[in-house]
Amino acid sequence: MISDLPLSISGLHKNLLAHKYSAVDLVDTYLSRINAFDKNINSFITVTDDLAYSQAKIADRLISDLGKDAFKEYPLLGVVVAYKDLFNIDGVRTTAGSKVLENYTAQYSATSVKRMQKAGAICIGKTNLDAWGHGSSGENSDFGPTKNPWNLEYVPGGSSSGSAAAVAANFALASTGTDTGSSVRLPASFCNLVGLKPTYGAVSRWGVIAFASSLDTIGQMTHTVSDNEKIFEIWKGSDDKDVNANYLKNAVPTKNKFTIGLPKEYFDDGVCSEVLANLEEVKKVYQKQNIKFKQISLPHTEYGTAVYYITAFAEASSNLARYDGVRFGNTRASFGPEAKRRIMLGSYVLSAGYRDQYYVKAMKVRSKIIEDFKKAFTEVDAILAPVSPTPAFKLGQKTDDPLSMYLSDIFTVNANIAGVPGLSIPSGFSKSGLPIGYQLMGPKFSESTLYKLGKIYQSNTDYHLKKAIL
Amino acid sequence: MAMANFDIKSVARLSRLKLTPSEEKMFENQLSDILNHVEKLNQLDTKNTQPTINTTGLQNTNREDKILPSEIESPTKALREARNQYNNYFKVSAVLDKEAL
Repeated sequence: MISDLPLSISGLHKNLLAHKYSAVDLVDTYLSRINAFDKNINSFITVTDDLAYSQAKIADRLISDLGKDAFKEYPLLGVVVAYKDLFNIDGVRTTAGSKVLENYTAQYSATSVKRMQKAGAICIGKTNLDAWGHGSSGENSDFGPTKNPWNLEYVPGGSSSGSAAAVAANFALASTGTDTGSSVRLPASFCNLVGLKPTYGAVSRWGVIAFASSLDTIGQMTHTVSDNEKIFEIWKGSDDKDVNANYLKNAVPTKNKFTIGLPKEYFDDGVCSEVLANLEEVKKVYQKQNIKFKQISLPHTEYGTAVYYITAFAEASSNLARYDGVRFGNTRASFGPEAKRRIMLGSYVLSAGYRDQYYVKAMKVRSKIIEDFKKAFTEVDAILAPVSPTPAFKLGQKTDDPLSMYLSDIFTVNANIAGVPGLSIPSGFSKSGLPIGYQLMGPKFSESTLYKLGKIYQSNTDYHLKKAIL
Repeated sequence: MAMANFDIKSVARLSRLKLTPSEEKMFENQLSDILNHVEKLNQLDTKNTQPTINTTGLQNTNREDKILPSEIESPTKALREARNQYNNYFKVSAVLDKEAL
């Protein structure tokens, strides 16, 4: 067993090359941790032991054959990854966290999965989630809630709940998620991880089960900003199967001098004092590195959740219409309560007589939110904001009141509405020891700027190196 | 008020979902709460605003008109997950009745 599991890809590669341990040893260690601790955390729906060992053996052979060149050819060689259970992997059960697909075995692999495998990554399993990506806490899973490894009485954030918990618990080095309104950034911030919601269209979503197609992005969670960028580099770029994927021709070149905007609507009384104080500390770290700050305004921020929920539910009702139990999966009777809520509300706002009043109205306000961001990015290179108004909340605290759960996403949904990237970065802990993170948003296709700013922060702080004690 | 016309039974029918009476009551209340929340959009004047459906601004994206190999290699694999099949086809319940034909 390996006593000091890696927290970064560069650390992993150094140790693999020095034969301090093998990829098979790594898989042994992760699997034994999963066996020992995951019954309390519930981060995995399916553990893929056989697949992990077969990929680890290939990795070990490549390292012994090619030496350090192996890592040039396979940039993610030996990186053990947990996939949110929305990512289809050929031959592996893929449930979307829903009883509708509880016995579904994927018949093909997502583009993102193929790119990870081609880069040498090892798949350890499929992680728990709010069914279909519908939720902010992980509690809407039909396979039981996931617990936060930092404190088992708290939620890990959702919907990529298991993916965040698995990396925080050191069951894998990295994980994949999807972010339609908050689902990578929120769990990353609740579990002390770096999480990216890329620009809409930066990464192919083909083969990942859809929630709301005009908002859906796929992202990744890691301990370090630099690892996060390595995965993004593998993922980004065009794919004939997702016509929206068009990163390469649009990338914004990065600079050396930055101005970060502070939108006044994100720093109001709705944010708890610990989170506000934390953001103040983040700002100081950047100011020491000669990064300037500027007050800005995103005046339509407060309308984001209303636009988001109309759009997301309308598109979800359409995407979930395909689940009829004919070609795969169980019948519609197997949908859980949250999916039913979203399908019905979505059907209602799209129905004759209400479409203009709700759906078209939301699409128009969406244009206003996009204009806010466009204007802001003429003044600043990036925007600093909280990820969530509070650190992780307790399991059960919001389950009886869906609307209060929806409002957890108030600071994250606008990036999806506008299609801009958002990066969540660990920035400390609350008095009760729960992780806090901050968010950087940038113009479309400015991921390299967000990563550069994230690396500046992590090279001056060590919060991301703290481990949850199980 | 829009809420006067919110009929949970008809919305469930549109959604192809069957609800129990207690579900009907719970969902009607919860969905009304959410619809009340989104009413705030009416505070904004959008008379001169164009709707955004897709943030990329892409219009039609065409590719060459040729058949690409399927990701699922065989009909057997494509049918593997279906509950009912017959002669290499998905089997479904009848949707047309004989009278109508």
